Amino acid sequence: MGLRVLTVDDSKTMREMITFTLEGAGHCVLEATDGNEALDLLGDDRVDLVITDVNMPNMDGLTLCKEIRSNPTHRLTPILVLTTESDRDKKEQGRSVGATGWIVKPFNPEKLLQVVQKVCP
Amino acid sequence: MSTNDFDLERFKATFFEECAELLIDAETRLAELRHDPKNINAEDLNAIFRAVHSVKGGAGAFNFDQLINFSHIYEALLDKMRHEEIEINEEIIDLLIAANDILTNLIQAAQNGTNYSENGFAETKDKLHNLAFGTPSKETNDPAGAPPENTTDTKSLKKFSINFLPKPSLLQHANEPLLLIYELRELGQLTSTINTDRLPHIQNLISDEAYFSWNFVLLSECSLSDVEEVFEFVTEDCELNISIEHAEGSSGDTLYETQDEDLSLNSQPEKLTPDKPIIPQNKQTLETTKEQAVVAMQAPTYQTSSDPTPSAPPQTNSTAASSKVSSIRVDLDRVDRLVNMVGELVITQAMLRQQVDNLPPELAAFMAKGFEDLGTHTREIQESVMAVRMQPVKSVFARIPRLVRELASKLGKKVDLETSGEDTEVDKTVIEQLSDPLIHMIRNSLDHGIEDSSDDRVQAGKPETAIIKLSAEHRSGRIHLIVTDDGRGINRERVKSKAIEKGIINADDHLNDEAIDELIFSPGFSTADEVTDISGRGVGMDVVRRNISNLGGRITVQSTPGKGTKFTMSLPLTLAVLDGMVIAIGKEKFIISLTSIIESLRPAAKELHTLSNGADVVSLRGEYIRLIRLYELFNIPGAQPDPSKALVVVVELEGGKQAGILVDELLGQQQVVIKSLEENYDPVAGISAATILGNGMVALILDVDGLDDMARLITNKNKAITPERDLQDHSSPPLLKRSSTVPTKHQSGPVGDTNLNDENSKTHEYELLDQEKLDQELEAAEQN
Repeated sequence: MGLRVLTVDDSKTMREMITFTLEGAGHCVLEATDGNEALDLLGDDRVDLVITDVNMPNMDGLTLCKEIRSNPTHRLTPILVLTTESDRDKKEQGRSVGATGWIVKPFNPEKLLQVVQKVCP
Repeated sequence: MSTNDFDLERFKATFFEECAELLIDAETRLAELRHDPKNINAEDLNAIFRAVHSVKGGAGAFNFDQLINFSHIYEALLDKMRHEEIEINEEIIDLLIAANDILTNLIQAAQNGTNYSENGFAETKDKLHNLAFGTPSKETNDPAGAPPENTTDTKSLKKFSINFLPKPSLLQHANEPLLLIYELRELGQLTSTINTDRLPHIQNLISDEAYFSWNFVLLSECSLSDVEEVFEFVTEDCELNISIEHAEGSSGDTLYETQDEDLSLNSQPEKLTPDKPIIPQNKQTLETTKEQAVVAMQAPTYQTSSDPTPSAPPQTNSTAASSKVSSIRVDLDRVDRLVNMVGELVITQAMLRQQVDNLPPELAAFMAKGFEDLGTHTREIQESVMAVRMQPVKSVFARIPRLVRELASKLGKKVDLETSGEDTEVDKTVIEQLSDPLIHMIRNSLDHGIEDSSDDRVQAGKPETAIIKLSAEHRSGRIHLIVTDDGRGINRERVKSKAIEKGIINADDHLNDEAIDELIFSPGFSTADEVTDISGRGVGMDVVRRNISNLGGRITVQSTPGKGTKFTMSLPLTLAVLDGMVIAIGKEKFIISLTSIIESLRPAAKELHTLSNGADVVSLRGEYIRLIRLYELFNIPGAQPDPSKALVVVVELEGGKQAGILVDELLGQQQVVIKSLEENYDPVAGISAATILGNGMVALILDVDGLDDMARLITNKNKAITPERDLQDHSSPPLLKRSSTVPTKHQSGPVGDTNLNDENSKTHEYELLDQEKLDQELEAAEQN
């Protein structure tokens, strides 16, 4: 069954690629351009997965993680953070605010689906 | 879904579009930083960082190596700067500006599929690298990183023994042991043993606690890193021990063993508990306070098939999502198609309207209301569609600060730029055409307008730093772009002597100040010997004026010696529709753009004069304006040749001059949809485009400047047969060239001549004034 995925990225290119990949795999994708928009969009509605970039205007991805985790509804929603290979401490930071895992850029559709599978049943 | 059906190409367009937006934003912000380096706005730096970061991210996906490499270094420096690890000064900001330029070029190169190697590229890169990492760059320094290399050990069957003891944090981060087990199972033959020692009595269960641990034995050809990758996200959230054995062996104390096939069953908590003994005594270090009925490992979210929550909300939520979307990106082609269709709709509506008007009055009245509404709605649709293509001029303005800065430093002048009205909107087609003339105007102001040295300025009692103002505003349905400088103004003596030298005017011509200023737009005025690096490229203001007038725009100049110069560029907001006046000559109908019409009048016979060269003029409140006989230019039979019985439409020409077009009748004002002649037929002299009228007839839209040129041409030919007049042709020749594509009238000598002779005989009826004086005045007015 398709998942409901929220993807948060200020880069239109990235959002488009993620959405295209996931929709191609039969998932339903919501898009937000920054943390604030993601929270507005999310509210108390469940999604199966959140994929978020770190560097975004208004509210960055790490703050978003924290916010999502602080809502009991989303306490157990997997959150994947988009990072680059070089951001070792980004991963650790992500983990410390409740991220489930990370997706290493550069974007690779196959890898994305693999990782999604890794955190979503 | 595999990588094979994933075509990255389709996203490249989005990427480049996005890059363009990001770069403009970054550039604007850099300009702000540059303006006041002491007072850095953190958000500016962050935004530039994010822009570069996004470029890098996209570049990574498309494997634009050069771009990845450079943006990585650039990004790293920005990161240091925003964390205040590097002191920010003008020098660094200049370096950032240079980096931004390179980034722009690299993106361009990536778009063209070429490699970028410009002088200064490596140097700037090294400088950046030095600041960012403390060492010069090396090509090998791979940033965003190729995907992690798999350690390639030999493919032999290995036996991995894995101890896996999750901590509660693993669950709190929404990781799921079961999924990890699935993943392990993908790697090879898996035997898993669950250790339930720590599982408390059901009364003492805590939902978030991790009670189980596992021992796995995996038989697989994969490498250690493959196995480690499975636990990639949870290494901090568990105790993990992986060892590789080759001998067979048991894996320690096991209470309960299961083949991996059974694991899927075990994912249901109900199944899990009854299958195995729960031995409360086995629990080790667990709090026993809270009562929880759910088995620890199974987070409730994951019961996808039985839990209705995930499947129920999608509809409601996706509508919520769509209502959030504040903008979408649409292919321009689609919008153009829409604009075109709406244009057709407008025409159809006008046609129907005309047919209704021809109905018997009772019937017409019956339909009138409906048609009124239809008209209103059509107009509204049209306006809405046009609004879709409207864009703020910001994107054009964004390039200007840097241009000014660079030129100023090249020229050694101190110049500040002030902009206003960046948010003024104009049709995208106009935006695209705006940039070049604007840049040229700015160059011109900097190069010629501003004094050569600040000493000159101080002597003139002005502040050392010159100010160039660039503003945009809407004025009566057009956009006005105004470039003002507070420089020395146009040096009229010099302009005049140069114009004489170039043969543009005669030494004994009397020109007023405005006329002299206008000379800078004359073809041939700006010539090679003064083409500098700055105002450069051999393009004179005449070309600027012609380009603008091709867009239906005008450019004018006002100058006060010693105080400064002001260029005003006025353009239509759109190139798709036009408010026009329908005029009739003989049986033909033409459209004149409303914006160029000043007034219409029927001159009295005593206001009409003929010059010795055959040109007809009308005296209008003391000024003489040239009369253009359209029927003569286009050979239209049945027209009214006597201006005192017909009408004269006074139009404004480029540069603010006026001319009167002789027409039989004004039929009314109408908005028309512009159909390009060049695209559908060929360019025609004196005609700017065509349109379709309500009755389905094609009507031509007049190019008043072109007509004026044609009329002069005839006059000049006439001059040629009047030997005592000098033969110099001051009118611009381009239209003559263009007219060769027109299979009509005036260009064949005899036609023009006979017509003119006819005309002459007729016009001699008019009262002849002091011929010499009249000639002189008109000549003067025409010199520009």
